[in-house]
Amino acid sequence: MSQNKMELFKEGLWENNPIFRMALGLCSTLAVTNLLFNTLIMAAAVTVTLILNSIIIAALRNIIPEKIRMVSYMIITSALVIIIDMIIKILYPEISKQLGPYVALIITNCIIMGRAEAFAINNPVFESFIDAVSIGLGYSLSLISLAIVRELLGFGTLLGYSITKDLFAPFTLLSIPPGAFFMLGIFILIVNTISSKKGGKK
Amino acid sequence: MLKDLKMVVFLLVLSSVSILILAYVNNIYLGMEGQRFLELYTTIMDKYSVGYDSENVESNFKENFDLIKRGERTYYVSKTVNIGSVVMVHEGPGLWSVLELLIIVNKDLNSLESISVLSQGETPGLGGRVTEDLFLDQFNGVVVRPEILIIKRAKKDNEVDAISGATATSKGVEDIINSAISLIDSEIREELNVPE
Repeated sequence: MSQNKMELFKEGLWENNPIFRMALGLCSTLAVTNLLFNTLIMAAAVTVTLILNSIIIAALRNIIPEKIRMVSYMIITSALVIIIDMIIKILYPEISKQLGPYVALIITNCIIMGRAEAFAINNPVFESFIDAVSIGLGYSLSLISLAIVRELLGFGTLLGYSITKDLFAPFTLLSIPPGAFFMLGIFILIVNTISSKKGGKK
Repeated sequence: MLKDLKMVVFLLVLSSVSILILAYVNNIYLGMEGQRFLELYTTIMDKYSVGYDSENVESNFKENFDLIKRGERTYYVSKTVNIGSVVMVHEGPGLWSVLELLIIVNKDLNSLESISVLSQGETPGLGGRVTEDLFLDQFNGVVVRPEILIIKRAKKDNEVDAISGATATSKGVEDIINSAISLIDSEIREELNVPE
């Protein structure tokens, strides 16, 4: 992989991290990160949708008429999301019920639309693929780190296994949606502090 | 003019391709969804401690239970263990989510054998405690006439203690059970020959 592509890959993980730096796709972030397993499924669903979406749009970029490109993104994204929603319903019916409408709502996730409009429509398939993988991983890692903290403190478990036993009473606030706001705020604070220090050194 | 035509043609082609793919996937999906009732059968047989062979879940289930269909609803009447007791799946709103309960009523249709939660998405630690045995075990043997009440400090034999901090969820469970009982009364009481 050339230097250029390596840079592109790193960008999505840190400088353009969709959650902590661009603050996109927060709705699903706040809603599903109380349990690690649900989060893994959600992160996988978004990443797969993002990658396929970017590849298809990059491949069609020369024949999509400019005026109706948004409509075209919506059609492609919705078709992908409906298929992925069905797959999750068959493989993990329980998880699908807990995730509720959030899988279907990937259609409106700004990250997907954002990457299509900002990147895939102007770039070749392979670059768009790298970009989607990196943004998808950035999204997944952000969600997973939030979920680990929330499940550990909110339930005292990880992936359903009891970790802290009876060390402390579970901090219920973190397991409900408002708790996600506090956790997300703290994470953004940390990420911004680190990156502003990095910038200072340059 | 030519540009406009190109747009129309492009959208038409794109939509048709998407629809074809979706229709194909949906077909596969419906076929697989059809198998999901087997899961319910095993849950019910576990509840009754009826042994079954995982290869023949459906026929094992039908040896042990009669199925009575009423529209979209199905009632299961036990033929072997606890003969005459009625199993029903019923759902209704909790606070945030749809609560899906498995309700087992005794053969005289006047008290509950047990209830269990098939699915829920209530607040963890508050309404989410609806799945805990501490709450669910209270329902074993509770009288449902004139109706079940989920309240603070239950005393009578048709009353059950609510979950503290989860009034809406408790109320949801109460409504689901009461509506299930009135459905059983109106739809299958006659067929089962149970006097009022």
